[in-house]
Amino acid sequence: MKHKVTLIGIGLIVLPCYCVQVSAKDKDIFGDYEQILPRGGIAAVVEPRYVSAAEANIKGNSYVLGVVVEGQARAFSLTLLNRHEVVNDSIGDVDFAAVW
Amino acid sequence: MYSRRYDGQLLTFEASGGLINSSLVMQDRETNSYWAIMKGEAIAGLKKGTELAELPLGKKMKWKRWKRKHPDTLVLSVNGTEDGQDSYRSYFRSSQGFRNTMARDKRLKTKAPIFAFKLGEQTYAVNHKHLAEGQSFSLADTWVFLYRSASAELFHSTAAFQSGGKGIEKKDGQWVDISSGCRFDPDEEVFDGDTESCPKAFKGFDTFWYNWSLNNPSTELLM
Repeated sequence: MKHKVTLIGIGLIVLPCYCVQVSAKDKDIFGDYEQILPRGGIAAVVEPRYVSAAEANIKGNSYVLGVVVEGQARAFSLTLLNRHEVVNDSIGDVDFAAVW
Repeated sequence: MYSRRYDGQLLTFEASGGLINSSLVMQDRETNSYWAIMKGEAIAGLKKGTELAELPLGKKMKWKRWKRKHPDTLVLSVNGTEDGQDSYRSYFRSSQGFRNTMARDKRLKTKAPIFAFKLGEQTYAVNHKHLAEGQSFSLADTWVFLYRSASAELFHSTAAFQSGGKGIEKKDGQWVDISSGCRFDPDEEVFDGDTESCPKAFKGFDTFWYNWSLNNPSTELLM
């Protein structure tokens, strides 16, 4: 009986020590990281679709992030980038993520 | 713009849903690592410590200007929309940071618009207002030239170039790279001349002071 109590006692001591170590490590890794939304709450664009400049419905004074790779130009409106945060794309051998 | 290829592996990035000092943290679907854009590296996960590879490709400008320069451009369309509502309008108009965050470094106001960049291990920032019609800086062994037209609005990208030569000076109203003789064209925001020896475009951040300084506290403020 005395033996069992000792084991539980050790367990209680060991467990809090383990918890403290894990949280210290998390703090070290994440610094001031704050989870605001669940992951996936903002849907990234992973299979981008495009239209021509003539078909695009954008106001002239709206801002875009433009990119030219291997002679091909692509534009991403800042409002769509705000909504999706990241657009994953590739042109030729250049694989890029559009973020602003 | 960032590369998606690290150690030969193609990554797919998305928002982690979290922020660090009010700036975006991405996660990749392949390794679940966390990538903090203002720190420029993975801060946790298998890729921890890997630098985000910036591609000096993207430029922000008004759609009418981009379309004029690149009439054959393709335009991202999501669910039949190319533009849409600006969900951050009130944030950009406010004098406070996201969720009322304020700058701890009071050298500039919380929402002062800046251009920030890294050279070697040192980070630098300069208020947009000092860049109207161009400014050159001698930093270590490098000349840095930054340009914003006097009429540039907040979202318009700062044009940024580096030169290892004798300097970039204003002569007869025009910015010139002394060593190469390349001249800066303020309409196109590029250096004209022998492109091999002209100053090279480099990437930095147009952002707000609080975003940058909270993530890069030892930043040297220029001017």
